[in-house]
Amino acid sequence: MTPSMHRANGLKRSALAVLLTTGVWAVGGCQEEITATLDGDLVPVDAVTVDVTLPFSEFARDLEGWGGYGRPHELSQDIVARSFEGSLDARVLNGFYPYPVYATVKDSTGVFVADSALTFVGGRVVVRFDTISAVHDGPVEIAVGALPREWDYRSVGWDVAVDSVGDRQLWDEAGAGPVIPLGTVIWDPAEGDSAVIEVDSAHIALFADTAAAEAGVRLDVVTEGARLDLAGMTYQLDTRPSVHPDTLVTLFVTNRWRSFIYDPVPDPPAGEIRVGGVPAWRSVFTFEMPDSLYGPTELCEAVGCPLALTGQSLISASLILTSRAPPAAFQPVDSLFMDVRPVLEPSRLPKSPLGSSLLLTGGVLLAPEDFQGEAGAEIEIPLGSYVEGLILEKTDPDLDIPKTLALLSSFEPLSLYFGAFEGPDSPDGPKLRLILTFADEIGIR
Amino acid sequence: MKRAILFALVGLAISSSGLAGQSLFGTQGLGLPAEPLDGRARALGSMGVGLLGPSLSPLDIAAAARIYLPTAQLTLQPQWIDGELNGQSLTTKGTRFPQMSLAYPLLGVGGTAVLHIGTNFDQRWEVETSSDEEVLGSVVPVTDRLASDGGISTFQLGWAQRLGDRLSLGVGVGSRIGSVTRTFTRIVDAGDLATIIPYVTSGEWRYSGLTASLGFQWDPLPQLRLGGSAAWSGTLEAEPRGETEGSSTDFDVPTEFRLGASGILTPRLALHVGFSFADWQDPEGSLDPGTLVGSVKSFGIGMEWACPTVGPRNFPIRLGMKRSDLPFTFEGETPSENVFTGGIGLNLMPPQSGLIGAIDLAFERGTREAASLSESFWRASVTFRVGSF
Repeated sequence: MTPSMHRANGLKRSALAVLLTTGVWAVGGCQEEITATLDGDLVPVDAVTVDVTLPFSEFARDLEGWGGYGRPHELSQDIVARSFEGSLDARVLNGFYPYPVYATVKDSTGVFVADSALTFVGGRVVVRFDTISAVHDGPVEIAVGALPREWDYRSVGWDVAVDSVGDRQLWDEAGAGPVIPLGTVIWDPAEGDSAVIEVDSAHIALFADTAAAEAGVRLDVVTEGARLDLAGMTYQLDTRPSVHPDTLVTLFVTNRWRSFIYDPVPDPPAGEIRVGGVPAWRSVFTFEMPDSLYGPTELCEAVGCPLALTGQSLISASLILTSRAPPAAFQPVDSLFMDVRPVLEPSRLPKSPLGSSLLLTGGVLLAPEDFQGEAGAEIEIPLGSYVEGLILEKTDPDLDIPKTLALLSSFEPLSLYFGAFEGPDSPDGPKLRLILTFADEIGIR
Repeated sequence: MKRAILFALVGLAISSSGLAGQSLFGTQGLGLPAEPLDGRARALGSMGVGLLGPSLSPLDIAAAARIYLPTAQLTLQPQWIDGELNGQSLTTKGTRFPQMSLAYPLLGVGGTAVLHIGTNFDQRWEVETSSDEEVLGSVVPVTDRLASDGGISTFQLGWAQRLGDRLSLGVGVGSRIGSVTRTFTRIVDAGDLATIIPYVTSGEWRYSGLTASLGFQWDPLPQLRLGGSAAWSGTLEAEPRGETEGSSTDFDVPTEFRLGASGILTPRLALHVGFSFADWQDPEGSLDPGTLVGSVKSFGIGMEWACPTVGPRNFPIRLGMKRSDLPFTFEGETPSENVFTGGIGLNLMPPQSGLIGAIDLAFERGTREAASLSESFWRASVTFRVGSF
């Protein structure tokens, strides 16, 4: 390489280094910081913000309650209760698969073998309760009885064992009775979360019958005023394997199905909005947004009336519900999530498909305190985008916004308890609260 | 290759308005004047005309006549502004691309074709005010924000012709380009009272209008250069775009005159002075007469010392100062801008290399004042210039 070529390369390298350094430094200033927060009159745009509250009759119609969504067996916890809050009785029904036909045990050589010559010498039903949600102070008496007949876990109720199309079979005695008593036990929540009801050999033999096993047992609480959430139930059998008669082996009978029944079933909602429960309730109504607003006086004084509603001026739209207390036995003991979803085919209610949630969060959190005592809590359900769509639809024929909405529990069914709200006939009935902002037209001068 | 450079420059021009910095003086009239000067002119406090040596500037279209290599030039301009309004302080920063140019000499006819894209007015600013308003029966804080994003630039094609060894003339025609979007936002902070989204309304306008310019460069003596230009502007039209309502708005932009002179004091030291004038009147336009200051004058002076050298390359050092009137009043007073300037030229390629590779750096420390608003700022200009056969 000649000296001149060395010089040329050196020049290129130094030029590149200078260019890069300078470019990085200059572009480093590209980050914008441009907002100046200032008091004074530097924003030459006059704006006013007003809020308007519309009663139900001015923005919606046709409130209806629909029930029957979901079944008790879909809940993660089952309930037993006896005269809870003076009214609620609930019992758990649990069916089993047939007994195990073999046990895996080690023989005399230490090899695991399947022993099918089993002799069942004892058994027990073990129930586990949710001690936190249990509603009773002190020990409660638990009873277990064998159900005398088949039942359908999907349709079973307080009065009916089977309630499917073309097949309706009543219990001989309301409340899934009568049962063959297996035993009772006093369960003290302070001593643990489980209770054990021993099953004698006669009843063990009874459940050896496949039909009897499928019918299973009924779990009941005997103590008045108690309500317990069942977290789990197992039926355990003690057996002596033929290869080791001196050894006791415990086998588990697999649960086949479980559900719970309760009484009384709440009356259908009349003049109220109801969400939740099992089977779950939904409340459906149809939006009918006004084109213009004619009041209140404050609005007219601020921006003039009649005031045509526009999507641009709408900065908040919320459905305001006022909570009311459900019957004591059905008052929420934990949080509820309420959702709002469009009803896509209102004519097919109660079986209409629903659209996606209108709530970004998937549901409004409802605290149990909102439904206790005097209730009367105002619940805000933000529907800004939806209401804006309704307003825009009036001038944009391409938009087709479903007008009928369903208020429902975000998870159906979620619980035995449900939330209730004042209906349209109440002074505290549903309201639509709009917050509007109006500003001068933006100019270039 | 040349097509790629052209497309890249046009692309930068389109995006340049979004990168502009802001001054609160830009809230008035057509915005803050933003001269399309390169780093050398900035460092010398120049008006952009009458500089020694060849230069590529939309303000001195005749100067390109002495460019003998196809040349591209780009200027970046970061700036940092501290201000005070009625005792309230503010800080902003940002970068813009005030000038992009291409020159293509046609040696056979003794002239150079030029393409310039340069900024004229910076309209990027954003202000907020806070207040209280009664919403849902409670007094809640409300923030109003008005943001302006955009600016006015000029796309210009021109020709610079050498007439002998001492005189050059230039002529250019062009069009205003650019747009501005103004967005008003109100944020109501109702806390837990309600779920509220910001209120937003905006308008967008696109600028258009014809421009033309004439310029000369004359060396009456070997040690003296004179330059001048006149930039005429037809009606500047702002046409609503998209869903923006209203009709077009017209603005009268005055003809701007620039004069500059450079003299060689010693073989390595040169003196430069410049002056510009425009009479801002808008009798039939849409500017509020109350915001127009009338005659707008600017003058600057600077020196260039070409002593530092490394081998065949030199690194001239420049110092200067400049005073400029701004054309739009602030709270009824005429604002002015005073800057002290300095900079250095990095001529990375030796003259005999047949290449141009240069960077001009300029630093300006300045102030703007009118009524209750004062700003001090640092402004840097970096010009990259490359040229090759």
